[in-house]
Amino acid sequence: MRRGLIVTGIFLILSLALSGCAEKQPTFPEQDLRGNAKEKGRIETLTIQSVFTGEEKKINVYLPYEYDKESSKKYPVIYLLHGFGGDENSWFDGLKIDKVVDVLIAEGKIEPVILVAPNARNALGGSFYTNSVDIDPTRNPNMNPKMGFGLYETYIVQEVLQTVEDRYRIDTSKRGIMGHSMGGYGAMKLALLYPQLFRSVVSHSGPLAFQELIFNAKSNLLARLAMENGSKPIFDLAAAAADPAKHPLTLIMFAMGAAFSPHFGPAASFDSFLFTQFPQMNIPASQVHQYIVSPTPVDTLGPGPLDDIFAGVDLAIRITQPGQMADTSRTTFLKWLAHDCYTILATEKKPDQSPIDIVSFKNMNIYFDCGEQDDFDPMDDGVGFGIIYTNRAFHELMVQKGISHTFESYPGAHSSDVYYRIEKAMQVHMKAFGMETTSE
Amino acid sequence: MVKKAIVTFILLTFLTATAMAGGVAVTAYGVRAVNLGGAYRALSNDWSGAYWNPAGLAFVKGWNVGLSTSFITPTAKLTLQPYEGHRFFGYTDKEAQSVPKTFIIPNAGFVYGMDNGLSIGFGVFVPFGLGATWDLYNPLPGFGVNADFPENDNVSDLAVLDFHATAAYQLSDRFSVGVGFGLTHMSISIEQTVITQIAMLNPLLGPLANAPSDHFPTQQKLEGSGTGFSATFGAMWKASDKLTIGLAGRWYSDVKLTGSVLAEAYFPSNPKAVQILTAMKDAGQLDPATYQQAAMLFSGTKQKVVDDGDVEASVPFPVNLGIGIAYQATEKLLVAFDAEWTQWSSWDVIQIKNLTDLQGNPMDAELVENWSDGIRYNVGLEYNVMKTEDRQLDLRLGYYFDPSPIPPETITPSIPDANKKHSFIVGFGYGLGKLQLDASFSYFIVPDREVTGWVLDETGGNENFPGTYKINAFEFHVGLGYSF
Repeated sequence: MRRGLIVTGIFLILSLALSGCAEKQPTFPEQDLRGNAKEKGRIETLTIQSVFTGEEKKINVYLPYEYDKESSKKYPVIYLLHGFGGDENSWFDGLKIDKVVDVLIAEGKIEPVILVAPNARNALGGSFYTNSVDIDPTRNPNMNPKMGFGLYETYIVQEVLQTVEDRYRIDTSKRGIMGHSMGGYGAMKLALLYPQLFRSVVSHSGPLAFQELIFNAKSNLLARLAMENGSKPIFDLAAAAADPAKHPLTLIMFAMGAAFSPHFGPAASFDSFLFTQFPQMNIPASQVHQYIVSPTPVDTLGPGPLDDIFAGVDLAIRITQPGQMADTSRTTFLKWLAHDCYTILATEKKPDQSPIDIVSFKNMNIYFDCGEQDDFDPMDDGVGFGIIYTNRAFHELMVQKGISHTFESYPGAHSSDVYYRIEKAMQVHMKAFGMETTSE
Repeated sequence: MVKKAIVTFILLTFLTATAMAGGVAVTAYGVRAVNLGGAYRALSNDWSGAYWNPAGLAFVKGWNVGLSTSFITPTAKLTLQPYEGHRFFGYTDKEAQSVPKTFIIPNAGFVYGMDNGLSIGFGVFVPFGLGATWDLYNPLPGFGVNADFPENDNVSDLAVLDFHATAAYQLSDRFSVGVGFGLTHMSISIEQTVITQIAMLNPLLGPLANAPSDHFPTQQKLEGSGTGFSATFGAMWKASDKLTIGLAGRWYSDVKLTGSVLAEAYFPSNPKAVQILTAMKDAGQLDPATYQQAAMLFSGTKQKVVDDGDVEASVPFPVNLGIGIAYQATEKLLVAFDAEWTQWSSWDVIQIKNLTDLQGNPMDAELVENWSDGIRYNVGLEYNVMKTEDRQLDLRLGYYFDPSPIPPETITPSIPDANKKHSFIVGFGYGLGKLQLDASFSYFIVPDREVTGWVLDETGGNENFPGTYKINAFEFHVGLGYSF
């Protein structure tokens, strides 16, 4: 009997000892069961009357969880530039950057940071963060946002920065800029033009070398542009506005024209229409935009009739074989190239041909990436702009110039994987701010 | 498209079930045998011989009954490999650790050796078992589903019991044979996450499927049980007074498993995608049925996609063949060595039958596994420290080396021993008259295993879990025997 008790005791002791020898270590201690951080930042929306764009503009500002708990601490800031067709909500609604940054901060992978997402959408869907004016004493005596013009470069670097940095506790020595698609272009362009303002720049899927869009051996954009407009000999903005999904290239061409090659001078005649007639354009009711459109060329003052498409905008592309092929107007394309990141860096000259501050640019932490399927095939992502080739060309130029940078390509299309690149981008900014974490 | 995804995750459910069984072929029958590293095929001279070599039972005279309990504590850590430079969807990019758990495995049996050379025995043992619990997955930040995801998402629990009757016959003073026949019972509970990439499920949805709404996880749970048969056979030859050689084999029939499958999908929230799909439907570019399915993928809801209480599967188990040598080197020192081959390659195809979706449509499927056969080597030493008329103390050392049969293409963290393992065992046996007490401690050295390369199925779910596996395991075994 006694032996039996001893043996039973051994079994019990072993059982208890082994069962209690370790505790569970949670794998996601900072997240709830829906994947979001337990400690969340918040988003404020500012509304400003923008002098430089002539419009009311909204700016979304993400404040980290601890912002309201620290009364004097200053935070680094990262400006987020949206893509074509986007707005101040794109980085939050589409790319969920606030949710990602919440978790990165909670996990200690990055320091708390303020994010600022301004609206840079214009009548055509995107301003390309470029100063573009079409002020005519008779026709158009003021800033003309309703036609897709505005000083968007100045709007960002003066109005947005000043508004936000006056209002929030921001360490202006730790300022970064990043963007996606058109915003990636904008971020890199503003970094080239204002390198003393920013410590770091990140471009995701940005068109960084315009020549590759048209002249890359694999480019099919000219043919697709012609096909988008069917049998018409012109780029039909009215049709594009009526059905943007079927005419994405045409719309973007007009937006680039409005940004890079606005037409100065009187127009002989033009029609006008309201964009709000076209709900597909998703333009807020508060912005009733008109745009000049005509079924026939109206401008005869340019270098030749073939570039005379619409008053107000010179297009760098013209249809040569309706429904089949287009080509470029060299004179106008050169205007576009003046705003091209590749050209700006290659020539080290701003669009106004003054020199850029190349020394300051080289001191920035520069990162850009692009999906390998961000090619000329529109089927996988609905874009097909060949952005990857522009990034590779820009990377090669950076190498030639001996500029320290990081370029990454990855399996993915134009927008499919940008969400996954946010962590990397944040680490780039943190490194530039001297706030690297051990987990990097 | 949902149907296709369901087939994928059902296949993976069974993959896990088999993988786990293979990873933990349990060595827990008879403490003396365990203590000698499993080098027992040339010994098997107590109740546990029914498992190791039934021929050994022929040399037992009178009754010998016994029971043992094994306490097995495996823990594992896994750092998953990045996928295209980032986390594999919602799977963690940090080092995850399995939830600590101790498995308590009882075994019992008896043998009765008659004067005419015939011995009969009966035992209950657990040839396969264990499991693991992990928290590996959480929806990505901003995923937007309106329901909580389970905290422990990768949970497995498996036990195979073998009720085994044995008969052995001593053909001569030096030679015996034995056979056994068993009824096996398998119970299984598996819970696992399966990823479906929306663009791979339907390429037409690719332009809408931007991360984090580029995929959805499906949490699936399988519970079931079934029965099968087993057989053992063996021969033993006492080549001399000091040298004994044993040959033995174990065979298992397929276990016919019946059970239930519950699968629930967690869809991301992407209102913009739904808006575009709605516009396409309104424009007549999508038919209502396709629209309904496609919109569901971006709905931000949790949806039950399989609830089948009558699933069948045929689960094979491997044949095991072994040879053992026992040598009484001195009066006090016994040395034993075994080599055993296990036919893990029998797990090449798993058949799944009678599975239906929520609409009752059949979803039969099979899975190719590609496991490899393995040879395990066992060594044991037993040294008699003290022996009197009614007391005896033996100290034992054991070691075995066991390779992993699981290829990188199908490895999962449900397997506590994902890599080859070295087991070192120390223990003792204390005889007190007719009573025998045995105890041993096993410590495993499992080298870290680096697995590279995500292997995806046709809808983008992972068939393996590449990364760094760190395994730690130890065992206690205690047993009682009684002879009369």
